[in-house]
Amino acid sequence: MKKVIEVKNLCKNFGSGNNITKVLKDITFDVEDGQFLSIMGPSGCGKSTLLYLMGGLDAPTSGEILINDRDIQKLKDREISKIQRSDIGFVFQFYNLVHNLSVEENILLPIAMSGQRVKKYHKKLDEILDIVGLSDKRKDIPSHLSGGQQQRVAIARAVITNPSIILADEPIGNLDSKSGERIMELFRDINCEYGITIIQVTHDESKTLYGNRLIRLYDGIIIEDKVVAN
Amino acid sequence: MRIFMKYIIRNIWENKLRGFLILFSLMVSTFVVFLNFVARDDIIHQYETLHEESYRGYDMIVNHEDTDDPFFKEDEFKTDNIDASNKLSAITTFGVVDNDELTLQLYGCNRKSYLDEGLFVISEEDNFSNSKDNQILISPQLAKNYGYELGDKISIETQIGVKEYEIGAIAKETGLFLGVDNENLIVMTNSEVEEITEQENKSNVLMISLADKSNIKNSIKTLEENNDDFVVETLVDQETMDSNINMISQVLLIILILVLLMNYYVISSNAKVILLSRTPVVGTFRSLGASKIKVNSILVLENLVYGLLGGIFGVICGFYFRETILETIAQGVLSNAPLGEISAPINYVYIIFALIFAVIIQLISVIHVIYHIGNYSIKNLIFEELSSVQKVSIVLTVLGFVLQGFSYVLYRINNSYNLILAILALVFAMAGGILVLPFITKYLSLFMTKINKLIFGEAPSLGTRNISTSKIINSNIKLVVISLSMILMIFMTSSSLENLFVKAKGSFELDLQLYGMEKKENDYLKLKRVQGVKDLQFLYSYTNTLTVNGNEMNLILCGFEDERLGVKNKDGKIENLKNGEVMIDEFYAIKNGFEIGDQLEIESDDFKTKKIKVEIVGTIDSSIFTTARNTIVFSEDQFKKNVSDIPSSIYVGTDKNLTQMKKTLYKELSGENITVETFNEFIENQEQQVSGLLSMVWIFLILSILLSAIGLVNNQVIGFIQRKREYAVLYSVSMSKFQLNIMIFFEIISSFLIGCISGLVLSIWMSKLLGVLLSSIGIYLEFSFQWGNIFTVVGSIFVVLMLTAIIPIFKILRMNVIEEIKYE
Repeated sequence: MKKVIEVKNLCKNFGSGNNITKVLKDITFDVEDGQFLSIMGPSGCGKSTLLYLMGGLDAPTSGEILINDRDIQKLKDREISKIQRSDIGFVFQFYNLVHNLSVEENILLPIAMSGQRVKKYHKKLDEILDIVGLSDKRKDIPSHLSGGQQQRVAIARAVITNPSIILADEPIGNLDSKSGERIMELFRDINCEYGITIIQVTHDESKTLYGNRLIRLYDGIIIEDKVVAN
Repeated sequence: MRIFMKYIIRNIWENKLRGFLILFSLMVSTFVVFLNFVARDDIIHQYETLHEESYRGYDMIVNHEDTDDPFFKEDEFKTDNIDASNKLSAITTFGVVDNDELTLQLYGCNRKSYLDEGLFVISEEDNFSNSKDNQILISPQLAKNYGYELGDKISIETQIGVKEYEIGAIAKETGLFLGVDNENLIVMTNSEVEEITEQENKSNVLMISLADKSNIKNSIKTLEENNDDFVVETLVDQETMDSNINMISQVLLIILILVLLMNYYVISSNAKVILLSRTPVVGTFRSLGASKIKVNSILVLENLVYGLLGGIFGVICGFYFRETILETIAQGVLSNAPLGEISAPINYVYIIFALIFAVIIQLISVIHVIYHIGNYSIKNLIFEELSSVQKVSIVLTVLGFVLQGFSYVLYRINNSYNLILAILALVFAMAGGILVLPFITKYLSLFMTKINKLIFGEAPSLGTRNISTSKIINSNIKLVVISLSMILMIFMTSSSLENLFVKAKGSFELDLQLYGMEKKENDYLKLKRVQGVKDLQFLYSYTNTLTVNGNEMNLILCGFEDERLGVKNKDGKIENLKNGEVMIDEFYAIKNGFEIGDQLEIESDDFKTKKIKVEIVGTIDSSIFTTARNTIVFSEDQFKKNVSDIPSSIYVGTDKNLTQMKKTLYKELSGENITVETFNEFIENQEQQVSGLLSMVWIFLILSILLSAIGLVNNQVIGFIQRKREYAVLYSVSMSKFQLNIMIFFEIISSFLIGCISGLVLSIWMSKLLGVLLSSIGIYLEFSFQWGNIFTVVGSIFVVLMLTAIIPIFKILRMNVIEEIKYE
């Protein structure tokens, strides 16, 4: 299988001078195309930091991250942005929707960011809204939606550009169990139907069962990397 | 693009209060900039319009040089060598309306010619005969001010006794009656004024229009060469116009500097809060693949919209209020320009420049914040991991002290009162003051923390310690310092001015002043015999633009025998002045590089001897005599011999009622255009002029200060929202709500105390610099610090500031602690 992400000897430190905290210590692993990877571990183990580094949202202290064979550390801001637009979709715990734009405007934001004509994407928008079950809420603003609905908008926004990877940081951490399960099912459907690689950070062991691989982190080190049977 | 525009417009709408503060500040700044642009055109246009409408194409006016015998026959004046297209003559004298303090100019002319030329315009219905000697035509202003109507009879005291006239027509407000210059002019027949003045076929005014309007200067020169005994002047005084343009431009520039100093921070601090509140969205945009440049472009575009909107509002204000503002400034700084009634057509380039200015100001105010946001990682932005801790930047602190140093150096070296250096010194002082403020705040607050711990205990000391680390409190202190220093600076200027006028009143010894004389001293000695007149003093002075050593200068030349009218000896004695010697104001000498021993060659066509060569032998202090301090004193003898032997003012001392004495003097001097005023009237007049200007500065400043006050209250609310989780945590671990309120109270009281102390110090320094700035445009003020009043102002502002502490205290009392700490 093709490797979509390669992480090599990745280190990340926070702080300066004598007050340095080593959050990630020489991490190395690959993610193959179409995998649904869950990263688990206790608070402060570095799992969210790892996710943000893979998405180019933060810079590592040392090491390499290759997205579709391109080392993102060696790319310019504009090229990283291009990868973030075309190859990666993000889903955050607190949704990160733009509160004064409507559901469909939020979903179409990555298209607008890339400078493409949003009109060309109306058919795809209808299809995605149908998948996430928000066709009737397309004109609403985020504050009129429930937490689960807002997270579905965030997922729709992540898939509108047809990325090869979705990075999800505790996507159901802020939702009740029922809404959480619906979101996880949605991720599984997207992974199976569109073949998009999904990497999620989670606290909940049961939610790793929606994926097919688990990496367990502890104190900045990978202590377990295994295949999960659905 | 549509999505981004929607996003930007919704953001602006959602940030209504802060957006309003920004737009209002931009509007005020753009308005002042727009005034700076249009003032010159307006002044020129008004002069041209007034000239065209008043004089209907006549270019110059001719008078006899000999004011004792001003009358001449028209053919005595030779116009052979110029291309005159038309000539109109008039014979004028003065009369006084019986029982009224009203001097009228009696204007005898060929009324038909004047009406045909449009120099006077009357209604067709008026039953007015051009040839009836007992019928007069009056100005519309006179009719309005004194309630005269058609058919009314007016008794006028003339040189040949009291005569009665009937008002045959009230002219329209155009031609020679445009504006206020000729409101006391009464149009009579030639024969009537000839009878009053006992002249025959003579005039004392001749107006000439030229066929070639581009050659006025040369024509005047030719006429003067061919007519030795005559004075020829243009009807539009270019020098006065240029000097007025210069003066108004300088005043507007000062207002602009003060408004910009104030508004820059209001715009910058509000825009900063708006931008920082949007960092998670910026992070989200970046996570969705927007490059730094793209996100920065969106933020820049948003601020560009603010700039454009503020600019448009400012220009609209400019359209509606420019006449009013220019008129007020003109009243404040000019004594001879009826500005504000007519505006020049707007040059659209000015509108574009004003809008560009507004956009630039807005972008300069926020560009560093946008750059700063761009430097954070996407993760930091999404999770709002931006530092809210105030750090004292060594670089900025050093830069602040360096700027203060520059400001001091500029103050010291600016002996010649250069306007640009004075502006730079003021701007450096303000910018330097703001830059060193975090440093001063930190160490003052740490000092106060120790004091509070010793006296009041733990909670108050914690409150004071918060000041050194909180960005929002530091921002509040900055707002207090800027607003307070501006208020105090203007307050000190106003009180120094008041003080000056109080001193000026004390230095005038007599009771009444007469001006407008056209005859020599001997002709007025008769006033000594008027009942009630106890003392009579003559003042010889001349004020105009003249040439000194080849340079044009606006000067007041005086002929004195001793110290008088507030003019005091500094180096040398006025009473020792001999022919060929002068004393000069020491401030004016420094400003213009004159020293004792310098030779001056003073030239003016108005002088008796056109060129006067003198040596500076001493210095004087004329700060009480004139705020411009542009005084040169001659001996009275030399002044009479070389400059003029007609007194410029006569001072009358009396033991009678002043109103009664004014009437008596008017009667006694009928036939002359003399004005009598009490010293109180004179001082009030002077005071009104300069205080009008200061009121203008106050209006713009109060508007700006109002904005910072709203910003301050808004900061308190934002500060509470930002820190309520911190308050809740403190409450949950040990502090009672009472202790929390004590902490906040001390935090606020200490921060405002630091703000007031810093503002006071900065304002004293800036007042000195403003003094130099005002001096550079010819308004000299000796700053007197009336500490009682200053502390009252600071105290009052401190109390008002303390009232804003009620907001967080009240909110703490209502705070739901569990709600705030559930995510901790």
